Amino acid sequence: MKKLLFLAFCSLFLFAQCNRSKGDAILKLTFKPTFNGSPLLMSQNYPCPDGDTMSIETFNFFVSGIELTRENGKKVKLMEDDALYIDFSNVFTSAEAQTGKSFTILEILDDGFSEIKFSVGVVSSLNSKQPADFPSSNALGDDGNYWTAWDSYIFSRVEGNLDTGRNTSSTLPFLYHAGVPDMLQTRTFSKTFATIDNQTTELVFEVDAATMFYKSDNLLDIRTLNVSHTAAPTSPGYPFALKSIQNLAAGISIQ
Amino acid sequence: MNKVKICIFALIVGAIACRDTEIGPLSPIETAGRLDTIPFQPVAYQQTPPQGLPAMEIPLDNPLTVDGIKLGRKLFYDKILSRDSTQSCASCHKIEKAFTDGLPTSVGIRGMAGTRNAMSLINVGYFWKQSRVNNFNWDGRFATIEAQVLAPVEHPLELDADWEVIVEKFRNHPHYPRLFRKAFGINNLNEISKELAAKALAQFLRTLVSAGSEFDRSQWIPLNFLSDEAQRGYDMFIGDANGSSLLKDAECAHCHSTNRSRALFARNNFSNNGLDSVGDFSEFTDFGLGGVNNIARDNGKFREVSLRNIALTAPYMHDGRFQTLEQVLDNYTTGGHPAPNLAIEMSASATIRTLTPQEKSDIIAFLHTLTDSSYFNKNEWKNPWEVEANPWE
Repeated sequence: MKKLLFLAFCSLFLFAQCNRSKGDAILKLTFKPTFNGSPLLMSQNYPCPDGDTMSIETFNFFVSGIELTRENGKKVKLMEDDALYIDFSNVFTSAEAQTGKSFTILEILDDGFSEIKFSVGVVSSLNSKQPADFPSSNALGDDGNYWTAWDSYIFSRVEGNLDTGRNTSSTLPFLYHAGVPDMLQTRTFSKTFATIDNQTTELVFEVDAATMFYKSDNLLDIRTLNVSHTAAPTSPGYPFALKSIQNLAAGISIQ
Repeated sequence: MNKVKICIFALIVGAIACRDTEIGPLSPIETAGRLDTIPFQPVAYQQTPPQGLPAMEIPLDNPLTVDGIKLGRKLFYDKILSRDSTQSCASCHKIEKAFTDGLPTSVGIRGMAGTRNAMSLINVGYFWKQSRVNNFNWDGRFATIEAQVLAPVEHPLELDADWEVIVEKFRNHPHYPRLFRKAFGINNLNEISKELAAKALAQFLRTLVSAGSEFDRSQWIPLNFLSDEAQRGYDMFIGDANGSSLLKDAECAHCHSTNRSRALFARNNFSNNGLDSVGDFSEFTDFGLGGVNNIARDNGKFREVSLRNIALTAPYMHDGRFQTLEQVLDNYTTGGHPAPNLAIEMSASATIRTLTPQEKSDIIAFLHTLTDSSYFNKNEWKNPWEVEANPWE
């Protein structure tokens, strides 16, 4: 009888271990802005593939729905009630660009992982909420990050100036804001990494702004339409807003 | 027998030595300054937000209490806060003008001209962002309301007083010691401080909540609608008119954000909205936020204000340069004046430059629907010396 009880206890313990989703490891996610491989600084001019030059004044986006894949194939969801807000708008030096924006996630399982997945934007469980549902210290609690005409958070913003130096020197400002559930972009990154209790594991991502505009199979031509923040699929501006976030997500790579 | 007498004597001496030193009534010196005989029974102030606004975030070190608010209201209207006792906070923040003063720039004691327009205090408690150091004043100089209210009292162009002198006046006042005791539970006069005065003022200001406008009724009360003009104006204001060719996007809501749960019509950020033409950051005549944080690219940036009650708070902008909402709109629809840090929302949009006179009129019609006049008769916001029989109670 005692042996039976002991075996039952061991089984329960092992079952619990296999199915636990939290531990004492720390995961640090770092996002670094680049432009064609160079550190991206706000308000600096960068040469574009087509001869124009571009400067970016505002560049921010949400990341949510973070999920890790364990080596045994099981998924672990992180930060289900929150989102990361990557805001490069105050990156003005190379040092700041190379440091990037980091976020620390606690209570990570001590384990080995093969993948990390996240969405660029705000997943529906959070997007159905409103800024007043969050403290003012949280980016989701910032009224400026919510667009009432969409009933949605602004998933991504990129604003700046294009110096159309190919023909005549003239500056064309641009603004692309993307939001609404249809524009949510999900990326999966294969990466083998381990987390250890009471230690920090860092994953570093590069976010290439040039890809937003010059992705070869999905060009975003600022000259055609320089402003879009529409959520109406029938609007001429819709493809531009959609492209901006599609290409933003595509421009994220893991180091 | 001698030993017994010695022991008894020792016991008596010990008893005398160990007695409570306070024997009999206290001397005047010992009672002076004491407030602990005044009851301190704090009652939390329950603030129920109106529909369209959330529960206000209140700093943990300054919860709202009934007596704290009463004290703050008296301080707001009491001219004791000025050097010559001729002005109070209310001199530049009048209830009938949504707590502004109707002047381009405020006028301090002895007619001294200030440099900035008096900001409205309506809903000011909602503009505290916990994680940010630049929250209050046109230039974001102050992180908290408690810090902000201290400044005008000593500003040479405003009340031009000295807090040390004012605190001494409080301590010698026939009523304020009792009020400070009731508000904060202090035990002695020397605990009265400018910090406590600031806390009381901040508590009162946090009660100035308004969301009873025509717009609010259209959102929350069935069968209440905006006029056709105002509705068109609102649709253009919030933008993204679903691709409709009939309505333009006026791009207003980028900076004057609103949503159903917090309809403040303010992003609560700082930006350059194109008031001045400059080629270089150093050319601004008023550096605004940049003058506070010493970041050149923030020169010329000022707080994006809430548009609630905007029809009552003319003139407009940090220096009161625009007398009417029409003039404000004309600034935006011309794209604003060029500057290296001009808000992209203004420089990038071609649409706002094409607004017709009717469309501008529609937007202004909408802005008028944000006026809440229901608080004009709120005695609890008014000067207690004008509306209460016993204001010191």
